Amino acid sequence: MQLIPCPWCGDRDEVEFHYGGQAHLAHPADPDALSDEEWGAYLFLRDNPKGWFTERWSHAAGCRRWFDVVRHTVTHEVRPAPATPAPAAPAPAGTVVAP
Amino acid sequence: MADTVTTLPGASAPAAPVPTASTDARSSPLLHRAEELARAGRPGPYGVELREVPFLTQFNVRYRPGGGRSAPDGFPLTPGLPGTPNTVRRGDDRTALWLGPDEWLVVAPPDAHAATEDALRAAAEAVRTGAAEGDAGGARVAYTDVSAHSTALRLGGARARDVLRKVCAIDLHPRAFGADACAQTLLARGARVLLVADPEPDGFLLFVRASFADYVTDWLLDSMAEYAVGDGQCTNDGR
Ligand SMILES: [Zn+2]
Ligand SMILES: [Zn+2]
Repeated sequence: MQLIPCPWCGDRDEVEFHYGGQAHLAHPADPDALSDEEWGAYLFLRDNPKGWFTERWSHAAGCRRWFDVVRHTVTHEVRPAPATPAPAAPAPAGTVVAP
Repeated sequence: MADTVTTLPGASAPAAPVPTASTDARSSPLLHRAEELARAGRPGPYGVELREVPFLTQFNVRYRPGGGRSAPDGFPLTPGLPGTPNTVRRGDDRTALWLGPDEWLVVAPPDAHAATEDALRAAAEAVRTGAAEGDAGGARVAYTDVSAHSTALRLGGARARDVLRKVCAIDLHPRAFGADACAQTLLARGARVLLVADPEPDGFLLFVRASFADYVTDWLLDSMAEYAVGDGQCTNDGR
């Protein structure tokens, strides 16, 4: 079982989440000013590192919030992203039994 | 105990009699299985029992306090909204459950629907006019009646935790899932549920979408089967 750390609910089973791709993509400020090539690059081109990758996940079957994690694309180790704001108190309930 | 979920109607009372058209035209998602549920349980302190708690009043509340604050302490409703993720705050006639950092579910007895709506309308007005104590500008609030969205099941008895463990990945040990815990999660590989500790007596409430109610019931009955027979005694202490 792959566990993903929701910043609100704590570690939960991967099947509760939806993947949202690379994090921190900025929407072009003026899309009309982009060439077709630049627009295509914005839509379709993503980093594909071998190693740590900052990405978006949604806790779809839980609190339904989007958040960032860093995932190692070789080992699949997942850690909370440094930029993810932590809730005031750790969730006392709703954590998952380790596999 | 007035401050527990058991104050919800039906939570500690026997299953309601099947309503007839002359007394109650409403139908709940698991009404047609009431007798089956009553037969499947094993009464007494060492058994497990399952039944529907239909028609609960349920309002979804979205709230963001103003003034750059994030804690929902200032929301003018009794009981207050819990700020700690996955916890419940219980009042005499209402319970507020954490769904997200700006989202809660307010649950009340079926006959408190109008009173709950009135209370939420007054609370929302107070927030909007900035009359709520300590609220600054920028506060946002909305509430939606979701009573018909899901029905509730009550799983009770000393074996309730064991029954749930077979169909749910959440750690249900009392030290991890205590008396004020709730969690939105997946049950039986696919059904989204809101699981709420209902400790008086030992048990849980499950809020299940109407269209998944039969499916979840099938899984729970299957999981209950081994505990519904025999004379062995057990408690949940220390397990
Ligand atoms: Zn998906
Ligand atoms: Zn979550």
